[in-house]
Amino acid sequence: MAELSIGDEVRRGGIDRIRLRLVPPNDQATTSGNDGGWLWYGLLLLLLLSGPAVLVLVVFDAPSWVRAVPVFAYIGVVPGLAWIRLLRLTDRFTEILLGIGLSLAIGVLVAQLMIYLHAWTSTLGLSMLVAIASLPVLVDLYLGPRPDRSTARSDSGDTS
Amino acid sequence: MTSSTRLRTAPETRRWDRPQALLAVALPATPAFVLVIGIIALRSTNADDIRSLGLVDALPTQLYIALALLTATFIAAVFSAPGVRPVVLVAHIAVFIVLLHGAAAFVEPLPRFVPAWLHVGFADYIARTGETLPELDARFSWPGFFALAAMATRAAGLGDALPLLAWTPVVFNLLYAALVHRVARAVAGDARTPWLAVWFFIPANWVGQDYFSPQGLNYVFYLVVLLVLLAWFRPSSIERARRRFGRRARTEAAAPTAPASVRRLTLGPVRRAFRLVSIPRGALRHEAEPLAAGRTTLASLIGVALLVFMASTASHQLTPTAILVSVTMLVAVRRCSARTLPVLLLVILLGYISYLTVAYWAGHLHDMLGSVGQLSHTVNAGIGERTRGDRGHLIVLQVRQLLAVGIWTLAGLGAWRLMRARRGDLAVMALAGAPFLLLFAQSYGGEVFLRIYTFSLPFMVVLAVGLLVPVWPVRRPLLAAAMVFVLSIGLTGAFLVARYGNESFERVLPGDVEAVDWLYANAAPGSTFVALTSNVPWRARDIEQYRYTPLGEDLGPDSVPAIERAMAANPRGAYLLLTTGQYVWGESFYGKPPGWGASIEQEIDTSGHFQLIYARHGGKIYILTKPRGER
Repeated sequence: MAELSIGDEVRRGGIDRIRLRLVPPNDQATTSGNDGGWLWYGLLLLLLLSGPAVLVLVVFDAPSWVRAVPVFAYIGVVPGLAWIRLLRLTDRFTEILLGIGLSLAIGVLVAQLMIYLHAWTSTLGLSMLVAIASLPVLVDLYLGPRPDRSTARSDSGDTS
Repeated sequence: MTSSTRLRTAPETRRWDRPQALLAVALPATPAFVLVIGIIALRSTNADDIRSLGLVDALPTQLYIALALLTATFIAAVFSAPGVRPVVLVAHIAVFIVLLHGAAAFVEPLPRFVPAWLHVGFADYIARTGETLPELDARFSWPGFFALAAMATRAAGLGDALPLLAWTPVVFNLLYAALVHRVARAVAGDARTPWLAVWFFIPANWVGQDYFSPQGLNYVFYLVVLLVLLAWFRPSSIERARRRFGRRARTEAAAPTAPASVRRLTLGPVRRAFRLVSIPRGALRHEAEPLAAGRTTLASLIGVALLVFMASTASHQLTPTAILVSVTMLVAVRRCSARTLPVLLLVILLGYISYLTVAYWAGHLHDMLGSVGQLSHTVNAGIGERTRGDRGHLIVLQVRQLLAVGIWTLAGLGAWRLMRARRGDLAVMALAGAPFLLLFAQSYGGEVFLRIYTFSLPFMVVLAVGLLVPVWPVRRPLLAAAMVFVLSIGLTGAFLVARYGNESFERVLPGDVEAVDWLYANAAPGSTFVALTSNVPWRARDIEQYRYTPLGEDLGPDSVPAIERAMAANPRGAYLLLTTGQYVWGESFYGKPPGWGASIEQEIDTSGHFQLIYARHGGKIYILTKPRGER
């Protein structure tokens, strides 16, 4: 792409090339960190260790300006993302969005469960979230790196 | 190559390269530049200049120029710049959201919107006690959002959720925009439609349900569930074709039609004209394919959808119904292969309502079901009763109604044009229309129109983009880009009026908060706080320790006796709170005459039954010294 001028591209049917650059086609696997490389292990370790790290900040009552952002980020992203990663979706952005949605849902259910069980403390709630987030990461580490599942558009109608 | 050829081609190359080279530099730089200009413009805005038309009365011209520049470069990036990196488009969208949905946070010293302060109080109660108060407020029967906020704020070391209020709309809208992009990508045939859909969505989402509230969070849940179904559970083209051919074979066997040559001869002029606007056969031919996934992944994704729906059921009254209606609609039009999903959702919803909201509905069954099926009542409540207030407020309401009707019209025409281009998508059309069914099955009264607009918006904008650009590559890119630019600018201007048009009373004044803080510091627990209207930033803490009595709009000429009655009702004492925010609310929202607040104050002062115990920055607090009838 770099050696071509933009005018050249357009004359050679550049519209298709624009499309390729704007959104990677689904059958071109984006690097989602599922290939067993350092990124795969790094991401899993980040998901695994961020929980205890946040819990330490809360238990030792770190000042709010230190722990507010990590706590909100953890509650809003990590538990759901840890589970969604097990699905091996190749579109990382969709994976993160589903992870955020699932994290918020898990947070709602955990917090409400504590109310119904009359066992309300924010530390307990966070501990439950850390446990929920750690389980799929440990499973992932146990199973080891696996190839991404294709999320290519199905042309055959066979979804198996 | 001959010299004539060179002459023909060389200038063309230069002509093309120059603007593209300019764009290559300008596109990545514009978002940062616009953000700086926009923030400077917003920070220089004086909140005291806000009048009856809201924030637009106070905003400087630089902000409008900055937004127009941002719009122009975004459209240029989408339409003409090959090889533009998605991060550049994302930066444009992020800046657009920050400047539009964060405008009030830059201008006003305190978080806006009194209901958001109340939600802080709900979360604060749960954080302190670990319990809910369903007898106090219906929202405590769906406490999921407040429980999450309580847990997160306490874990983060914050005293309450007030610091989150100002920027919640920006965070929520960033999430919405990302989800709308993925939803649009799941249904659109081209890479650029999702970007344009998001660009229209941001200003079209003026309703303001994105504040610190259960509905703000639940909109994320709504989009997540529908994204999962649209991306992975659509029927493939093979399945659709199989179904279509089966149906056609049955139809032809039942009633064989005349040969095409004969039909053509019998076409009259009316039918010929009709064919020009009619929808051709194969209008849904190019519907998007589902993403392929294994059975385990599909089952897991259904699990994700169910879990998200459970969280939605536990945290909001209306959104689960909206999800259920939309999913049922998808199944009904055969655009969701998880056909038993609506049944599962219904069981979860009924189970929650039956067991975990008993404390509420046992005494409020009429409130929950009273409006069900009462379409005319809902329409009257939505259009008639909400259309009142001063001139500025009425203009704002008209802009809102025009904006809603405009978006729906554009979407309708877009659906028609997409189908004419054989690019129609039944799932999108079904989801755009499904929220209208909430008119028949809800108890939200007139406010449901706002919710219908919000729930249908992600799909309406996809259809609206189809009107301007039904097929990519565009036949006349300049014309299409110009139309998109004009529409974007129009939407942005309308957004600023529709969203911030009520800012005169939706902003929270420091003097009002100061008076409320004084009350909490000095009033004895168990006493009653009385106010003329509900537009008071109270109940953000200690909601269970005091009684709150906003007297409401029917406060007429006998207002002072009404106030006295409300204050005398509590033997443990009562405080009358008068603030500027209440007076502005009364004038703008209820259409009371200018100066009505001052005249009530005068009546109170001259009645001799009240003692002024606090007066600062527009806030006044009285206690009742001698109730009427006592000597």
